[in-house]
Amino acid sequence: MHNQPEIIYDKQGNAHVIVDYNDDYIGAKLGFWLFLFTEMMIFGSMFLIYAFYMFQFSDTFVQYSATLNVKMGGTNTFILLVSALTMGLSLVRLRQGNVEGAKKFIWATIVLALIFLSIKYFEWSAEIHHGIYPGSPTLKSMGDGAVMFFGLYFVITGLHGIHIILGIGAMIWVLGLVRKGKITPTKFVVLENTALYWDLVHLVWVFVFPLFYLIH
Amino acid sequence: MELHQNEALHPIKASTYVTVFALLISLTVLTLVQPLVLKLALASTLSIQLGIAFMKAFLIVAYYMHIKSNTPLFRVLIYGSLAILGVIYIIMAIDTYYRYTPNDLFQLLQKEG
Amino acid sequence: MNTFSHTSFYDKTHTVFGHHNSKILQWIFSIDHKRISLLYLFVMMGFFLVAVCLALSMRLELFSPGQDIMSPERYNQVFTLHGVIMIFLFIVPGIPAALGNFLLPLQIGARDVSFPRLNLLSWWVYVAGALLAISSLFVGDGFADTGWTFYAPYSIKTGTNVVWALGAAFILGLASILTGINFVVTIHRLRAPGMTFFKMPLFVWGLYSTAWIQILATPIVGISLVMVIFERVFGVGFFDPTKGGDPVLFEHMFWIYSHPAVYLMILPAFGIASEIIPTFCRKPIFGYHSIAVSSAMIAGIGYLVWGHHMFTSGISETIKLIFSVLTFFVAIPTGVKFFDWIATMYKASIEFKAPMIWAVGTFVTFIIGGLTGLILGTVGVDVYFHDTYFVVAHFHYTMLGGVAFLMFAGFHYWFPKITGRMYSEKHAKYAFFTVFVGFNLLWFPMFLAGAFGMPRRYFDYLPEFEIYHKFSGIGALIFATGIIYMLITLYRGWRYGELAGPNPWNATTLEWQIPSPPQLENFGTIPYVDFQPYEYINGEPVHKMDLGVKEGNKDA
Ligand code: HEM
Ligand SMILES: [Cu+2]
Repeated sequence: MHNQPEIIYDKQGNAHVIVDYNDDYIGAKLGFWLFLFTEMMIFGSMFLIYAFYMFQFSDTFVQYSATLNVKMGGTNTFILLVSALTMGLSLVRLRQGNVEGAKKFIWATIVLALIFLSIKYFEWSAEIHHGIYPGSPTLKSMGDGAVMFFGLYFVITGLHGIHIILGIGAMIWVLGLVRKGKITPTKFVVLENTALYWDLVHLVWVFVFPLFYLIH
Repeated sequence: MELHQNEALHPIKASTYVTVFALLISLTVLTLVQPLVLKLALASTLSIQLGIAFMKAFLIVAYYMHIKSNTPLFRVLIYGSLAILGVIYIIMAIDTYYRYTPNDLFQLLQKEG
Repeated sequence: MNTFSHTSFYDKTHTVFGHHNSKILQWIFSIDHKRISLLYLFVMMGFFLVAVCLALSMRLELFSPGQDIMSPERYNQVFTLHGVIMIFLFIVPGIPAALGNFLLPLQIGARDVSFPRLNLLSWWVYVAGALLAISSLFVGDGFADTGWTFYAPYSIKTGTNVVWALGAAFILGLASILTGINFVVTIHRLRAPGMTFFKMPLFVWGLYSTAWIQILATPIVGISLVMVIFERVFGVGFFDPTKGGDPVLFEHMFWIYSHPAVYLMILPAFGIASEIIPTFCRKPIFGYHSIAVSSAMIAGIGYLVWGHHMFTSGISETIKLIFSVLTFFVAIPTGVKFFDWIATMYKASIEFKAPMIWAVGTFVTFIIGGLTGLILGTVGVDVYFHDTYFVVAHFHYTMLGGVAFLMFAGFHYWFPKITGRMYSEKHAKYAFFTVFVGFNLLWFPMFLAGAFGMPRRYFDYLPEFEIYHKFSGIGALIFATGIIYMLITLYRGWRYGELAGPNPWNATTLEWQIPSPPQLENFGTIPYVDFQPYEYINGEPVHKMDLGVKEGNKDA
């Protein structure tokens, strides 16, 4: 709308730019960070529940942590690590002016995210196959600590999985915007914010993984 | 104050990403190795694992999420929010500890008095 | 409405998708903060009236002992619906999303909020949540009967439709978060050049503190409510004692949000008071910095005191003491504000116009509400008062006699800015006195009933409490009449009132330096703000500006 920045002068004659609310890079980033804070509070609350029950049922938590599949969890950890790198590099490429390269890296991230989800799927299936899922009679017969441990396991990894899915959706949307020319090497804040989101998803996993898989 | 509104465009470099990636990988390997070489009690395992996790988190936030190169405002807000979350944890910890252990100050006082 | 000499935002607007011919579409898809604010305002006031009617039906049931007009189960649902509407649909969005949305950009010299589309989205999300809440009335066993607190394990077990009500509360929380994000970014990014944080009007300070509570606390209750949904749908067990879960954990997580939420409600209301007082005292506000900082302090300490709602829930003795002490601390910044307001009024030649009367009346009711809060914050006393009408009277004195009253004060104060017209001063004053008398008659007896042991959330009571409920019932009627009176007065002002002009109160903040009602994008010229928000000399504003038109075009 306003192509040229609007400028006003104070009494001393110094010029001041009026920030254009339609095109405010820092504002867009700040807003997204605030959204990330809400995510931090959500996962923070879940970890609070975790800590609360871990304190009461620590032996059971250790016992059942050993039964989780570290191989699958570990693989997923590495996959997310790499995907955070590819996502970051896509931003680097875009800002260097290499739009095609940026797109490739986004696709790589999407593929990695899908692999993550498939592994998660197999992991959950195996557990559900053994009758371990929230509300199941088998789980109930394993005692209160187990109900809490696996309840937390399913809820937190599930919540995290939903974020992965949303992330994939966001990346596909970003690819569309790149194609339409709405994201360009000079207008990249949407991609940057998507990358921030993906880093958050990664960040959550950084805590989920040891807390569930590695405390035995 | 600032004349060009979008001035805070710090260059980002692929090499930073790769270096941080290498660090993250090594830290992750460490977390995986720890249970194999050191069999510790829960408290120590937790502190080692969470210690590493916080280190990773710091690297991610500082470099992948560009907090190092952003304006200080972002840092202040992050610290503030973390502080609030931290205080909530502390209060909850106090309650949980005294509720589930027989150490509640007032119950002790009552017994003595 | 083309009676104004300029094209106001009522004539012209931005929308999300292009241009619409239909007036209705022009409103519900508008991304102008002023229109969105009015959308919020009307929906919110509509729900307020619904909840008042529900409250009147409760008062009718309680008018005489025994079961009169509703079954005990129905009574439970009615107070839950009343509470849910009043909290999640009326008072939480109330001041920020309605008045705040209108005034924030005007007061900081911005053309809109940072994310106008997100602003509209938040209204739509709010409407969706409201519809979900309302539709849950007609599905299954009807509306939840848990109380607005949704305490587990009852909320896990009851047959009523708790899941939908929880879903609605979650969605409404989302709308509130979006508003909060928008406001924080707007305040950080779009202040007029030169306006540092300590040159912002105090209403903006209130909105800023509130927005942080919306951002940081709402997710916590959101996720806890989702956990209760999971509990009912999947049987996860976090809050179910039969599975090793702990219901007290739910109470903790609920109040971690819901206590700060009461400051979320009151802080912008205090902001309104801080705008009205200097305007009608015609002098700079006393202790500007301390009022500004105390808003932030209240928000900060507000995070640490949630446990005073849980003194009888079985939390540990140590933490009870900590919570109690911290609760007393909140009174300090609140007291600072009252001190500053009264010091501003001291020796001023006060003009008792309607907004001022509302504000001063609120001081009376809010001080009663606040001081009884200190009584309740004392562990030993609360064990006795907990879950009695003493508590119910306390929170109505703060939320209705504090927040809602100051909101009404704000309506009267900014009415000329929003509509461009004036209401009848005389009727506005009569309406205030009706409301004020009705309100005190309605709730003061309940302090006594509660102190003598009348428990809350009961459809019936022992005969000795009848006299209090009789007074209270009559008070409720007077109160409701007063509210209707006030709304009619405002409506008549809007339709037939005299033109108000840009600055009828001789106020100093930026929203009064542009025509009323404001135009699209608010300012023609954005000023360089190197002055304090409330500068008067000898009862006259120091800076008078005409910011409606563009600098160069003034003579044209
Ligand atoms: C017309 C004025 C009002 C009247 C007559 C009224 C009356 C009542 C009554 C009779 C109860 C039930 C008490 C019980 O049985 O325990 C109640 C509960 C409640 N009211 Fe109001 N009220 C009014 C306005 C408000 C306002 C403006 C708010 C908030 C902004 C509010 C918030 C609540 C809440 C949160 C509850 C608790 C519901 C629960 O126990 O779950 N009320 N009110
Ligand atoms: Cu409280």
